This record gives sequence, C-alpha cells and structure tokens, in this order.
Amino acid sequence: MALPKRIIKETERLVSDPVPGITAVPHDDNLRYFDVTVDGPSQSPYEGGVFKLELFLPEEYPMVAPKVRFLTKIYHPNIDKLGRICLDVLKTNWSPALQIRTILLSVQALLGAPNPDDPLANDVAQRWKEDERAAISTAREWTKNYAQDDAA
Amino acid sequence: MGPATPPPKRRRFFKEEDAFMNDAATDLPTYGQALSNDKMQNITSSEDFRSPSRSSTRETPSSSPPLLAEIEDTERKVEPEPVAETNATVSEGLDEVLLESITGQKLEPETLAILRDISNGDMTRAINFVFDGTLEKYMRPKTTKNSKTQSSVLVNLMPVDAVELVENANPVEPPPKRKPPPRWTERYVGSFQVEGWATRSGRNLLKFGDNITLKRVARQVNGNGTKRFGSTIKAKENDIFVRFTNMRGDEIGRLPADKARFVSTLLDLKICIFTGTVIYVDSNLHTGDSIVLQLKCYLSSTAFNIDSGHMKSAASPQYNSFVYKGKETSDERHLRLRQMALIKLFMDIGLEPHSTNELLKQHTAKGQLEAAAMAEQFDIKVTPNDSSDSEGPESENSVEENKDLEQDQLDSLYRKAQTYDADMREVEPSDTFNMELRPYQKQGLGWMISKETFEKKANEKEIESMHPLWEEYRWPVPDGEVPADEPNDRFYVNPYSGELSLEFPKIQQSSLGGILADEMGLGKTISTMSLIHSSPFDPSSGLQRTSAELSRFASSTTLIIAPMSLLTQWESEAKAASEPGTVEVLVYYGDERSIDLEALCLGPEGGRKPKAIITSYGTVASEWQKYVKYGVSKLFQLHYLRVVLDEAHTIRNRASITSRSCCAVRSDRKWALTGTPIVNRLEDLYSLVKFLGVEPWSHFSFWRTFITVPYESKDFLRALDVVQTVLEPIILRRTKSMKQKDGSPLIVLPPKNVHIEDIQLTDTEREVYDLFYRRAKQTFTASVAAGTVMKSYTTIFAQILRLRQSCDHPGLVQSAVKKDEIDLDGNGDEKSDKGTLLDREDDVNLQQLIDKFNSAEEEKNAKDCYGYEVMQQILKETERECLICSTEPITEQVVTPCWHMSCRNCLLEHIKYQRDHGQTPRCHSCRTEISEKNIFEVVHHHEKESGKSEIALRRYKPQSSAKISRLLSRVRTIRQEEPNTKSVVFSQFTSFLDYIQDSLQRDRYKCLRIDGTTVQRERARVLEQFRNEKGEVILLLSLKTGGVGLNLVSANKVFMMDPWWSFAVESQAIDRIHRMGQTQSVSVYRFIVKGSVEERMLKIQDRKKFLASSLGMSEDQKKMQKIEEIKLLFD
Repeated sequence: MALPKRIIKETERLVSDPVPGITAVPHDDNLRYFDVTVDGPSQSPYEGGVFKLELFLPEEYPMVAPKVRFLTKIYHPNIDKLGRICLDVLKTNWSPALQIRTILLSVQALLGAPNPDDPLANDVAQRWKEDERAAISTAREWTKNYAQDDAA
Repeated sequence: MGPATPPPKRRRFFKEEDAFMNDAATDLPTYGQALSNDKMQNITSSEDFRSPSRSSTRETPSSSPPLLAEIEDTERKVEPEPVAETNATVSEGLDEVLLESITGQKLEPETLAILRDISNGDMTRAINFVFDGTLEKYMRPKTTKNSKTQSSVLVNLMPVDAVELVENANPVEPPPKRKPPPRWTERYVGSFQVEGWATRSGRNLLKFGDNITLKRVARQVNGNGTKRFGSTIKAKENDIFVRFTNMRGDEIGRLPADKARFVSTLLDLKICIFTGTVIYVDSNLHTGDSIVLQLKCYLSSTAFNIDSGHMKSAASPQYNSFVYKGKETSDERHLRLRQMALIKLFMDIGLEPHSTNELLKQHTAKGQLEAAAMAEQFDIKVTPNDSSDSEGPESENSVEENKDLEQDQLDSLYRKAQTYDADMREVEPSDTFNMELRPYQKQGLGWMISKETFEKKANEKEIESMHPLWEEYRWPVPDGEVPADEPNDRFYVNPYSGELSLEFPKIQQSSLGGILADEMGLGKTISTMSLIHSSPFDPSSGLQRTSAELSRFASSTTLIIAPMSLLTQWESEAKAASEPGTVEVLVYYGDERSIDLEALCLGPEGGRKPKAIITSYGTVASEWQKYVKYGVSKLFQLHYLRVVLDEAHTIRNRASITSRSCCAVRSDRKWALTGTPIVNRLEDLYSLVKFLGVEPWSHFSFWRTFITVPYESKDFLRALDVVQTVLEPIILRRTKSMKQKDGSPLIVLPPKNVHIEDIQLTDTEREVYDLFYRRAKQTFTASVAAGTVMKSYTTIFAQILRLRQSCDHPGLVQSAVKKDEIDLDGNGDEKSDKGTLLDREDDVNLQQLIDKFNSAEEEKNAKDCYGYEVMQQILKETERECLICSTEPITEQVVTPCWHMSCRNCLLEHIKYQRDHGQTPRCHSCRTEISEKNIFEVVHHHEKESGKSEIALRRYKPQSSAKISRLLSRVRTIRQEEPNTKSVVFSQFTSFLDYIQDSLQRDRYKCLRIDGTTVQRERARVLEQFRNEKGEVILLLSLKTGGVGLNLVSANKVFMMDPWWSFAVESQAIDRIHRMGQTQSVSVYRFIVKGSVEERMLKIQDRKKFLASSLGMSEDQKKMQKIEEIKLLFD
C-alpha cells in the first residue's frame, strides 16, 4: 500500500522544520516506523537525558493515534517498565488533526509534568505520591544511568 | 420415360394386360398429342380452354374452378387463327379432316401445305410428322409470328414492379444485344411416371391413354378466378395440391405429395408445362385408388431469362421494402423454391448436364444435396399444418431472431480471416501524397494496388469460359424422335439459383477491389488516400468499353461514400494528405449538389476536375431513388474509376435503400472500408460481397446454401470455414496487436493505465445491496436444490441484474422494488406462504431504506443560516491544508458547525471510524460532537466572466452513491491537476447515467451524453461538440452505444462505472479513446464495489480468458456455462 500523502508530508516537515529537542527518523525499509529521540525537559528529573522511543503509524493512521513506546528505561509514573505511555491523546483523545510532531511534544510535556493520579506504573506512582523527592531522585538516577551518552 | 412398372399390389393390372395391349394400339396417337405445338392450340378459342397443359386444348370447356395458371394463358395468348376455308384446297392430297380428327389438332393451311410437301401426300407419314416433332422443325422458320408472345417473356420469372424495370433499364449503355427470342413457348425436357391417387369413385371416369390435365386449385379462392397471380400465390403459399382432371374437366385425383411439392412450384412459377396420359387406371375407380400417370414436362420459355443478364434476378432480386435483413425476401424465397423444384424435376426426369464446370462439379453435387436437404427442412416446418396458415418465411424468421453471432464466434472468424503476412510487399505512395505512411500501411497500399490490377488479367483469359455456377444441358428429344443435331440447341441451368437461360452464361468479370478491414484506428482513410494518389486513373481506359460507356467514364474520379458525420473529416484528411493542387476534392452534399458534376468529371484534366468526390450514404440513397424514378441523377450518370464505402457496414442490411443504392453505383473498382465487416450476423458480410460483386458469392441463394443454412443448422464451424474462404482473397485485416517484421507493434499508442477503483458502499447502500444479495442467493440455491436452474434462468438473471444495479446506485432498483410489490399484491392470495411474507417484509424495509436515502437529498442552501462574515472567513481559510490528510488545498471542502474544515471524505471517514468504534463522532479539531447531518459542503462557483469565485454552503447530503462520490472526487482532482481534460464515463445503465449527469451538472461540470435513445443526427452533433470543445468536458456514454465506431481520442480519462461479464466488451469501449490518434497517455478507472458481485465478476472475466471459446456450443451449453458463472457469484 502506498504511503498516504499525509505521512510523506509529516516526515518531510520533521526534517525541514525540526522540533527542538525532538528527532524522528523513519526506517529506510519501513517508512511508518520511526526512531525517535526526546530530550528530557529542563527543570525536570529527566533533564540532560536523551530518551529513545519508537513510533509506529498504523494502517488506519490518522484515524487512530500512532503507537509510541519508550525504548530507554525511564522512571515515570505514567510510563511502565515496557515503555508504554499513558497519555490521553494517544488513546481516547486522539484526533486526526494531531500529528507526529504534536504527539511527541505531548510526550515531552508529559516528562515535565508527571501525573501520578493517572498512573500506569503503579509502584512508581505510589512512590511519587508518598515520597516525591525520593522518586525524583530515582528518576534522575535512571536518567543518568540509562539516558545519557556514556550510558548508552 | 421408363417402362410403366406396375405397382406390385395391383394384381388386376396384369389381368387386364391384354386390354392394355389392344388399347395401346389405338390410343397411341392420342398419346402423341401430348407433344404440343403452338399451332395446334390455335384452333381453340381463348376463353374455352384454360389449362396449363396444352394437350388438353381439345377438351370440353373446363368446368373446374378458375386456375392459377390462367394468367399464363393471358400472357401467352395467341390469337386464334380463323379457320381458313381454303384449307381443303391447300391441303390437296391429304385428307385434312381425317388428319385433324386423328391428330386432334386443327391445322393451318400453311401447316398442311408443309405436311403435304414433306410427306409426299402420305397420310401415315404426315401423321407421324405431326407427332414426332418433325413438322415442328420444318415449320420453325415460319412460325415466328407467334413470337410476338415473346415480349411478355421479358417479364421475368417473377412479377417485376415498375421500379425494378427502371432500375435495370440503363439509359447510358445501349440495350444489350438480345438473342432472337425462342420460337417456342414451351419445350420438352423429359417425362416421368407418377402414381397419383383418386379423389372420387365411379366407373369409366378415366381409361388408359386418356389425357389428363394438371390443375392448381386455390382452395380459398372461389368465384371467377379474377385473382391475380401474386396474391393467389401468397394466399396459398403452403398449398401444394396438384389435382388432375380428365378430358371432361372433372377432377379425378391428386398427385402424391412428394411430386406435388415440386410440380406445384413449377406450375405456380410458370416454369413448366405438364401433359399427362394415363398409364394405368382401374375402370371401376374408388377414392384412394392409384392412378399411374406419365407426365411429360415442357420448359416454358417464360422461365428463361431472355433479357441480358444471367445474373440479373439473383444479383438484384426485387426487394420489398418491408423485408428486413435475416429474413429472405419473398423473391429470394421464390428463387429458392424454384431452385429446389427444378433440381427435383431434373432428378426425376433423369436429365443430366451435358457439361459443367469441372472444378465445381463436386461442389455442385454437394450443393444439390444441400438444396435437397434444405427442401426437406423447409417442408418439415411447413407441411405438418397444411391446413393452418403458418407461413414458411414467418416461422423461419422467428428462428432467425437469435442468429446473431456470438462475440467469440466473431473473434475466431476474424482470426481466421486475418491473413496478414508481415512479409507483404511494401509500396511507396506516389510523390503527390503528402503524408508519411507506416510500413504496414505501405503493405496495405501494395495489396490494394494488386487487388485493382491482378484479377483483371486473369479474367481476360477466361472470358469465353462458362460461368462456374452454370451447367449446360442439351434439349432431350421425346422417345422415338430423331435427335436434332443442332450444336447450339442447348440450355443452361444455374443449379444454385434455379435460373434458366438459353444464352451461354459467360463468366462475369468480377469487380476489382476488396475489403480493407483494418481494425479501427489503423488508418484506413489514409491508406485509401494513398491508393487514390498512387493509382489515379485507369491505364486501360477505353479498352473494353463501348463508346457510350466511355462517354460516361469518369476515368480519374474516385467516389467516396461515407457517413454524413465523417464528410468533413474525409475532406480535411484528403487535403492534408495531398500536395497542394494534386488531388481536387469535391464534397457532394447539400448545396454543393448544384454543381455540374458531369462537366467536371468528364472534362479535361486539371483545373477543378475532382479526383475524389466525397458524398454521404443519404445522398447516394436519395439520388438513386430519383434515378430509378425519373432517370435523372448527377451521381448515377457517371461510371467511376473507383468507389469507396467508408464504414461499409452501413450497408449490411441488404434490403435497405442504402445498401441497394450503393450496389447500383457503377465503377470499375470497389472498396469497402470497415473495422467491423460483420456487425452481428453473417449476412452482414453478404452485403459487402454483393457490393463488390464477388462471384459466385454475390448470389444470395448460393450464399444461403453454403453459409446461412449450415450456420443455422448449427454447423457453425463449417459455415465459418466457408466464410473464411470467401473472405481470404478479398479482405485485408490488421489489428493493433499484430507485429511488424521487426517484431515491433504496428502502431505504438501512448500508454494506457488501468486502475481498479475499490469502492466502499455507504451503509445505506450496503443494506440495499445485502437485501438483494440475500434474495438472489435464496432464489438461486432454491432452484439449484429443486433442479430448476434452467427454468428460472431468467428470474435469477434479473435478480443479479438488480444486484449489479444496486452496486451503482440504490435508486436504480427502486422501480424494481415497486414492481415486485405489485406482483406480490397480485399473487398475494395464492402465495401467502412464509417465503412470500418474508419477501414482503423485506420490501417494506427496503422501501423505507430507499426513502431514507432519498429524503437526504433535499437541498437546503446554508447561505441563509450563516452570515456573510463567516463566508469570508471560509474563503480565507480555503487555502489551508486538510488537517486530516494534509492535502493542500482542501479538496471537497466541508465545514463543521464549529467552523473546522477538512476534506469531505476525510471528515466522513473520521466520523464513520469513530462511530464504528463505539464513540460519539467529534470534530477533529475541537472535539465538539458532530454528525454527517450537520456538516456543510463549501461550493465554489466560478464565474468565468468576472474571474471571481463565489462561495456557498450546502448542507452535506449523502445523495450520491459511493460510486458517484468517487467519480466526483476523481473529476475534481483532474480539474485541479490537469485542467481542460476531457473525460468519458461509461455505464451499462442509462438510469445510472441520469444520476451521474445530475451530480456532475450540480457541480457545474459540462456534460454531454449519448445513449441508445440518442438519434443518429444528435449523436453526430454531440460527438462534434465533444471533439471541438476546448476546455473540460465529460461525455457520458452507455456501454452498448459507445462500443461502436466512435472516435474519442480527444479524451484521455475513462471511467468504467460498472463491469461487464467479459472484459472484451469493456476493452472495446476503452479503445474508443485509446486508439490511433491518441496523443496522451490514457487513464482508465474501473469502479468495482468491494465485497460485491462486481468483484466476483472480475474473477469471471479472468476465468473467461482461459476458457475455450463457446464456439459450437449449444444454447443449453451456453446457459450451463452462465450458470457456472452465477455459482461463482454466490460462492
């Protein structure tokens, strides 16, 4: 099946007009599969980390949201061990008017604003609520261990 | 002829042998009277004796009902010679009274004088001379006065209407040399024995040696016998009774059916005269008893075509205007009856040809057998209900209705006739020809030139050989006579047509020319023009022509007859193909007809002398009618160098005025150009063959015998084989798929891309479709289970048709639904079983569905609901890209109530997706709840003059079916990406074209349309408009109509809205656009509904390519094949 015009356009624009702190590069053999990096937002426990994600555009895209998953280990109440992300725009609040770019910005924003009240990783959320400072410290730790160049 | 073999069961015959022997002696003279002689009848007064048999002229006035053959008397009426009182003195030495009483003939004084001279006064010798015909020979030079009757002999075997006479009359050429007419009105050809049966009882009605008279009695006709020949024949077409009467004129009996069948024809058509004598009869006669008769047969001089052409009656039979193709004309039927009767007669009397064409001997024997078979076939159809009035031709005709050639038969025929040899000689056109010919066209030119010269030489050698279809016979002499050794005493029979002639039938010089049947788009016009350039005049001009002919011979003029709509095309192509000043072209049409054609064409070379006259079929037809009526016509007064019929299949109906007029054009060389020499019947080809004058096939009876009859009796392969032999020497056909010597295709067309458009039905449509699908499948499986598939074939087919229609647009089946309801109401009482009730429920639902569908179509202009500012905002935002598909600008812009825009299809898909996943549809931008019902289309109306565009909002309505929506979106894209493109839309259903037209026109597309209801003139106009339109235009065509002859190369987008069972038909339609002259690549979009019968039909199309052709299949086999296909549909 030919690649819809929309995906081509989005890919082109990601190159020509990149979002600061975010890269998304499609695979040569599968243009619907993107290697993504998201820089941890400043003033967040993830600052200084470069997080790798994978993003896949399903057949029905843009009627359905892209599938996005963290590849880099991350300590975050809305992201589980497998890298799955709990984010409304990736689920029920998806709209075809959203794009790869906007979704990745949302993901980046999620890093800056963890929401332990709507958890995916329950243990992390629990800790976040009980001892936020310790949790943030762990998150920093993990960022240092897993999301920095020397760690990779 | 042979000895009177008595029927074995009649034992009494032997008992009375003695009596027979005794009687024989005294009755011999009577027997001899059968040798009739005109002279002998002159004694009779014309009103007393009305009998086909001259030998009965001595008998008492006939009391029998008026005879059919009476007219013959009026034609041959001979004024009674007054009995000269001087007889006694003149015939001194002979007792004339005795002589007359013995011979039973009144003898004229002259005759008596001759008799006396040759018999030296010997009475016995004189009597013998009378009876053995010697007298006749002596008298011959002197009896020519009777030949005044011969003028009526010119009246052909059939009544010739006035028009026909004029048609054949030839004011230009001198009357053909006529042989002196024969000096007899009938002549002995042989005798045979027949066992008749008595129709009455009684004593001494008839005795051995009595003369009997054969009578044809019209049963329905009573009264005074004033009925004319023609009408009587008609009334009793199938009545074959031949009665015979004794000398008193009382009807005694009838001939047996097998003999009566041909004897009746021969009598009715006035070909023969019979005299009969009784060989054996029981003196005490009972009804049903056998009566053995010896019949002597005389060919009537009226049976011979004494006038010029041997071919005339067959080559130009008189057609009745009401006859249409397929049915043999009544004259053709007469000829056929006549042929059959003659062949049977010759078989019965054992007459064999003295010489016949050796090459065709075998052929001929075969032909006669064939003819006999035809006779049988015909009889079987007719005789079982002798009493009913079922007419032969009528019943045959009903059979012929279905004689259309199947596509694959046609294909295989063409395959055989495509005798294209890549090594054919290429001929360079003359320098005056201004165009570059492709290699295959040069080959074509070579072939055409050879067809115009080659045969002529061959014919010159055989000029004195007998026409291959004719046989030569010697006149037989009655038993006991001395054969007259006259070398020229022969007659000629054409066993194929039943024609008789006294003249030597010379082989006819066939016309030069042929059929150029290259597939459409290969440049037949150009090839013809190159021929006109390369062979501009007749080099042998004046060689074999009389001066009269020569004075009318336009020796360098080619007459081109083309459909009216192509006249201008011909003119422009002719001009484009010629160096200026080399070929003067004249369009002879309308006002141009006032010019002096004769002066121009016969005048000196150069100046305005036309090398090519282009005219229309209509003009030729009307001029011909004028020519026939008044003998005036500019066109028909000339004899042309060459005549060319473009789209020659126009003349396929051989009985039409058009066809006949074209055949009447006089020319040395004749060409027929057509891409489809056979449109749907083998007879189509006959018209072309007749136009070309291809011997012997231009005789319809011959054609019928070898082609039509085998074909009709399902012997397709043989018929097609014969057609192939006919075609091979005269036809050149190349197809686009053929390769040149170097393996490259004949023509290289721009590429053609076929896309399959997968269509997803809307939910409403799907419901309608599913309903019909369930129904059709139910019917089918039910009839399979009941084993009645063949019986319910039509029902099933009708349901599948609806299924296919519902793929196009639910509106198409609406009427079908209503009709069903009516049907159900009518049968409601009887069929109150469950199945019917279910059906009825279905129908109600369906009606509701359709109502729902239609109610959405109400158009409301949203303009009133929204303010002007909003419009402006939309106008500004028009250039934005669609948020869903990123297309820029948005196609088919729609706007939500919350003012968010996107492409229509994107938004609809979005709404549908959400609903399908159990969500409430929301705006893609602001997540406000929306639905299909409250979105609006933005409609741009471009004003050409001001260049401004206006915007209106229109409530979105799912009015269009999925197919129409897709079509609209396609044409919209085309409008944006390739402005000024012309498109063609094909559908099988004109009602679907209605919907399409509505939708397209609502969106301000310029539409033209041609379907089956478009009259010819309108078609030409529409095509012209389509061709000349500079900008965007969409032509709607019904698949059936669009398949023929159209040239639509100005378009390059094709939409096939629905599939047909075989792709060949669709492909033909596509070839209207993708043909020679196409300069752009062609895109074809085939609209196929996913998950529907249409998809399955594509599979069937694929399958068909691998199936053996249905050639030679029976109707049932074809049905079976079709049922197999239906099974695939429901699997």
